[in-house]
Amino acid sequence: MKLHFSPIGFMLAYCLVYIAALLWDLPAFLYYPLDGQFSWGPAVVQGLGPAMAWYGIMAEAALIAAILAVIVPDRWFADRMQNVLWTVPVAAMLICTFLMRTFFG
Amino acid sequence: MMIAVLIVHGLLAVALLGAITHQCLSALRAKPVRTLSFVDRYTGVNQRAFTWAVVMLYGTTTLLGAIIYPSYRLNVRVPFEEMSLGWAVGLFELKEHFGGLGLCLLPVYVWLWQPQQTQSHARDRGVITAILAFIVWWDFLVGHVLNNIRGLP
Repeated sequence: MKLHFSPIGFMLAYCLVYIAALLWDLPAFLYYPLDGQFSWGPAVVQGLGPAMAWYGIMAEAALIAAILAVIVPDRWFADRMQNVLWTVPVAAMLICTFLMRTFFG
Repeated sequence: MMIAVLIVHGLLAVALLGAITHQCLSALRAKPVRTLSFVDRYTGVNQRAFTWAVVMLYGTTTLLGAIIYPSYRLNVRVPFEEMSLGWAVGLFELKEHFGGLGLCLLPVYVWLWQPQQTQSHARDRGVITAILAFIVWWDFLVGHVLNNIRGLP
């Protein structure tokens, strides 16, 4: 069986997983730059200094999106979302901005 | 070492800024070149020629940014928080998330610039390219401003 990668499916799934992980604070892992250590899941380990979630969110979004991009046929997205593809990343960026509003308050 | 990575990160960002801006403006103008004015020459380029350069530059610039990030987290963000510069932390958070979201646009960006999609996805191609250009400009300017407030040691 030949696998076909759907770039549209990848973009859609990545945006959705990324925003969901950000919204519900669910990175696959955390990185602690002070000690160079990792911990699985979103729970912060005390005593390891500041934790970084960005790598965990991106890895999670990329992995899930890559799997979905192979499973779901490309034409399914291409036919239904012609010329409105761009709305998904725009919505994701707007949600990001909304979630970061607390920094500017 | 981190300073050297930061400088290369900045230089690649300049190249990326040039490439994506050139392609984006050219795509959005969509008007045949008639005169030899600067604007016509600037926008009258082979738009597809920029695609893989943008992908390689975006990927490499983001990778270098990811390498620098832990140093920023410890040596820049903590002082920002101590100085009550929440807005600066917020700007960086947006830079980080926009940059991360921009990565997922690259496969579809390449697909949209293939000749087979010339007619069917014209609006998607123009807007996705513009979104990438916005992300690159945002990340470049925010990185520059924050580095002026407090650079890496």
